Amino acid sequence: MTAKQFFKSTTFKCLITLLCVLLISGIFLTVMNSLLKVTDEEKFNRAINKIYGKSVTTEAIAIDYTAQKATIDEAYRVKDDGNYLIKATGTGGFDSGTVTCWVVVAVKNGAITGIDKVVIDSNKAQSYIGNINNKFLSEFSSYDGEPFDALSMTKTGATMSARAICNAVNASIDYVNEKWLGNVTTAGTKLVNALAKLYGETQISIYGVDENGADMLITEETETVTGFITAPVTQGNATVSEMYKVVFTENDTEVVQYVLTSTGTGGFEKGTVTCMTAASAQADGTLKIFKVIITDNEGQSYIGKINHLDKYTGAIFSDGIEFTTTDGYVSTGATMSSTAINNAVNGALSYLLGNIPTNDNQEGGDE
Amino acid sequence: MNKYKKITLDGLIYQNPTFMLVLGTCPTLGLISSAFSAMGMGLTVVVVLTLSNIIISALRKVIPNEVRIPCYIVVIATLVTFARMFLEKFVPDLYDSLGGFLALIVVNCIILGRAEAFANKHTVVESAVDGIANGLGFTIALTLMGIICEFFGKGSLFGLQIMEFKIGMLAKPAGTFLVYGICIALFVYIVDGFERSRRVKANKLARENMLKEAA
Repeated sequence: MTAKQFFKSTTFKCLITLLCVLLISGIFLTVMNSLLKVTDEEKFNRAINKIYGKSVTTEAIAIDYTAQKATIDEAYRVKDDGNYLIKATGTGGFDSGTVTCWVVVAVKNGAITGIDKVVIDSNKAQSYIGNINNKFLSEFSSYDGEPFDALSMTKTGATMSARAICNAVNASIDYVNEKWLGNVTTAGTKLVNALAKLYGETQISIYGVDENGADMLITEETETVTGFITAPVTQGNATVSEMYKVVFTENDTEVVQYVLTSTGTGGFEKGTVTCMTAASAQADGTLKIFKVIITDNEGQSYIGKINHLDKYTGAIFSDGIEFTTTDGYVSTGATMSSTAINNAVNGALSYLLGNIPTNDNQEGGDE
Repeated sequence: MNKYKKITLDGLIYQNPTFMLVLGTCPTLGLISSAFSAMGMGLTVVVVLTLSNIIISALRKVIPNEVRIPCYIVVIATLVTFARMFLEKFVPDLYDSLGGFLALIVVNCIILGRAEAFANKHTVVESAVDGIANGLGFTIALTLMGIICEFFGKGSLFGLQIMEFKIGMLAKPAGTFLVYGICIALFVYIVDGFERSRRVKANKLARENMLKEAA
């Protein structure tokens, strides 16, 4: 084919047509993009309007803060009312996704008085985000100083997304508290709050170990907390990460218990469940469980269906005994999560059985 | 019958893309749980379909037959991208509620179907009328089903809460599928009934004319 023939051929005509269509489309979209581009400022003003229903004066503030289960993306001080407007992305959502929220943290006289509003900005892979309704979001307004827990809030049918939102809100509160109000939460306070979920109103003394290996009383003022486990230990299908001694008085008798934090594998979609298990050593060398609570989970969409934790209370554990789903330690609709919980509890108690300090063995306080 | 009237009636009723041709089912099932989203999607399709029909009809003698489909796709994708930019800038609520379905208009078979079946064989004006009619047929169908699903599934209309009673399933994909099926059945039944009575009337008239001529 000669050059002349090529230029007269259909192939050439097709190429030119396609190129022309592409070129015109490209030029058109370039022009439109410059005309219709939504600037960051516009996006921010839209978010403000969505939250406040009007425009407010804000001042950007430094972030420089690391949270465990969320990231603080943007932070502003609202000049009109002195509140803090935080954009935070909570992790731990459905399918390991995230939810980004705008959180208005209300502050008065140097203290957080509540959460004025939570507005969802965007999400990643949250198929059920539409189930998060206003009833759920309005629950954040009743802030009592405790971190929000999706499991104890209104059921939405989107437990994982709700958890990511809670993580974002909790991180926003911690950020404002620690960074701008100077109320740094000590490790001791965090531990005391965590154990309050197990023991409620009961007055307890918590012990870890000091640098010499001796028991050390942990209070809210304790800044550095060291438990009986310094590095996570793998025990069966679980990883045991923390162990503390708890002492309290019941019927004029001193009761000594151990609280262990362990993460069980084998959950839904290869996820995990982290539990706190409190148990005491019996005179016959066995362990008696006081209580088991769930503190965290990875990818357990049906964790809200877990309702068998009371069954562990009073159960006896010894060598050769394991809690399994076939023995009734299971919740209908969450078998995989139940398996992970059993693994966590079995792991924690197996570890405790082989690592009880000798002076505490054969404690019969709660008999 | 006036050709524009025929094109319009075809797009709205006799070849309604949603109920009669069952095209564009993906956005239909995905968006009819909310009347606002359904109507927004419908109106966006009206604009994209009309513009693509006009452009493709105007270029039908320029575009070689061998590369017509790639050219149509580029034109449609450009218009959809423009629609996305426009909605993001001026109607952000609708942009957010349509989500990924907005970009999927590029592969909506109604648009490519009308380009291939109608616009590349007819004049610009006829193609524009066809685009509007088919787009409106799609919009009406989606809005109608959106109203049904939102009213019974969420107890609200266009986001305005009306009643507490609701059948949650109707706001979910399985429920929208059910509503879609029922609406198709009803629509076909009504159109068939109308056509049958029209044929009976026409036959009766023809018979009377024949009798008159015979007399």
